[in-house]
Amino acid sequence: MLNDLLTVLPLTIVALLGCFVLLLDVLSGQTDRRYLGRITAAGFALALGSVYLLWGKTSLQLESPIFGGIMVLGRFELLACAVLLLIGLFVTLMSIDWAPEQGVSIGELYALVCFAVLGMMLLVTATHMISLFLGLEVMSVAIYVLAAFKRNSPYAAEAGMKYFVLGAFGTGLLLYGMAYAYGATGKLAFADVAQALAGKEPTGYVKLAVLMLVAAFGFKLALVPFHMWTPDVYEGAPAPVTALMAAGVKTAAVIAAGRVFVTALPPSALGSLEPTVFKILGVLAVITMTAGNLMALPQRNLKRMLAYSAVAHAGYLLIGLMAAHHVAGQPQVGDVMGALLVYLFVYALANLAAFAVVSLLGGQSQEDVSLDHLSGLSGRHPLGAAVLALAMLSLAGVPPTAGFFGKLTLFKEALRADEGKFPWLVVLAVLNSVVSVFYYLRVLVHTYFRDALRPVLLVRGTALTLALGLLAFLTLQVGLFPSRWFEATAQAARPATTQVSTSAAP
Amino acid sequence: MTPYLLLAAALFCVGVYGLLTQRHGIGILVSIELMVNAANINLVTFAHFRGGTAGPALALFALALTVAEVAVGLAILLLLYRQKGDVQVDDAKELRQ
Repeated sequence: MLNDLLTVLPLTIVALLGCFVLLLDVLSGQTDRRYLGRITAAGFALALGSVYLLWGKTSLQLESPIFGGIMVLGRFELLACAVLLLIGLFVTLMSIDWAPEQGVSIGELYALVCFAVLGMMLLVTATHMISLFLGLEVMSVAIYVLAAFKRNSPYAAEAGMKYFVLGAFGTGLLLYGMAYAYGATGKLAFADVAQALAGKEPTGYVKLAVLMLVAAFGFKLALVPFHMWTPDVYEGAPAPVTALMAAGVKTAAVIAAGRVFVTALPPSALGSLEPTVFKILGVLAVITMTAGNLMALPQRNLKRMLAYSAVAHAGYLLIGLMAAHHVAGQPQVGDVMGALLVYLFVYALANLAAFAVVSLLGGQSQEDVSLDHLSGLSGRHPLGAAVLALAMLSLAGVPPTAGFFGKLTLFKEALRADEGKFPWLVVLAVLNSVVSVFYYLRVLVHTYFRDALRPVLLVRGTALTLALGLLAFLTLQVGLFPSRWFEATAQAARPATTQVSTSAAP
Repeated sequence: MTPYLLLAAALFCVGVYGLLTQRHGIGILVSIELMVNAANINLVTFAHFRGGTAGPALALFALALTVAEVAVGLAILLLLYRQKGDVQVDDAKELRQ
């Protein structure tokens, strides 16, 4: 028990940090609250440090399930938590200079970011339906509030409401699916569900459960028929919050979906249902990436463009998820999950960088940053322009940025998973990435080759500059020395996802 | 067991239908509650007829968490009401479609 408590140290730190910031906010009275951002950033750095400490502790038996099998915090999960903590850190850094200009309540902003990151960490460590649901709700509730956070903005309530309605719809579907999975097996721990289903003909309960779970994760990942909320919410929510949504929610949801479809519903548990599920997911992946890219093409609003780009990337990630599902139970699943996590990390870096630049432009508390606002940015803020260019190249997958490498590994692993089934998906994905280059490069053209059209107030500050610099450094670092990152991740993922835990949970 | 499952399914369908057609904010919140509670009925039904405690445990978690969710939803509705003087979700069309 003591070991379990020690193992969840990163989560504990973030939870306490959130409460601590709230408390400080109340105690601050009339004083300037800018220092809360620095405290939050320091807290995230501390949590990252604790991840590093845990990484070296062999005495803790990291790969074994903790708290009676409701969660596991092995090396792969530690890496995923580190990615989420980094996202939290960057979101905090870009808020430090941005928030005071917007007239939002600063203390609650940071506390909610902490709670959202806590929910994401619960989500990536969950191995039981209850902890999965708990993580999802902790994350979602915090993000509903954050989406509507700029109360003086006319878009805030609308963005919050849209995200809330569709998020709650997804939650309802997820719970209903879980109920039927429970009805079919009598179990809620992922490994037990898989065990109970293995070798049996899938009943109607199982079919219903799988359908509901696919739809529920579809909402969280913004797959195409379930993506309606994405552009409006991305546009209406404040830039740092959108960064948290684009980077954090996607990372957490993809890893959680991977865990469900690898440990709870592997092909062996689905039996004769497997080809149908594969077809459904394949069709979803194709329409998601194609529709996402096509809808991104005409967008002149940077945030809406990034929203559709997020939809397109969800399609690529779904191919990785399908590959992980396909090889579930084999050692190879570690490589696929590793590739997914690297892709998510790379994607998170690029999105954080892009939204950091958007919050840089948000000086007049405007939420619609169009391409015209970017014109001439290279002259007025060279660092911001360079980071934005790097982010766009990374999203497009142009070498030597991290994005190229992320796509390469993901598609390579998908092909390796099954030579027969994946090639057409990968070919479509590559064609789609070619299409996407158009709208990513258009941003570059506006940044570097157009003269300024309108005066834009820039938010300036050391924290934002630091965030931009770090993001640029990491994007190049992953892009130039990719093998190091991928090897470490795959290594970490291998034992974690192959072991089937027999849990003691009810 | 079937009558209970059918009741839950009916409630769930009413919830989904309401969520897709309701334009009134409160109606949407009610629909969400219906969907979640349909799932809770299922969980308790399965546990009752097949034994086990995990289902009701999840149902308890779901109850508490959706209360938090709906409370936040209500707060967002209140914000909408303050801005527009109405809780018709149709009125929230500032963001480009």
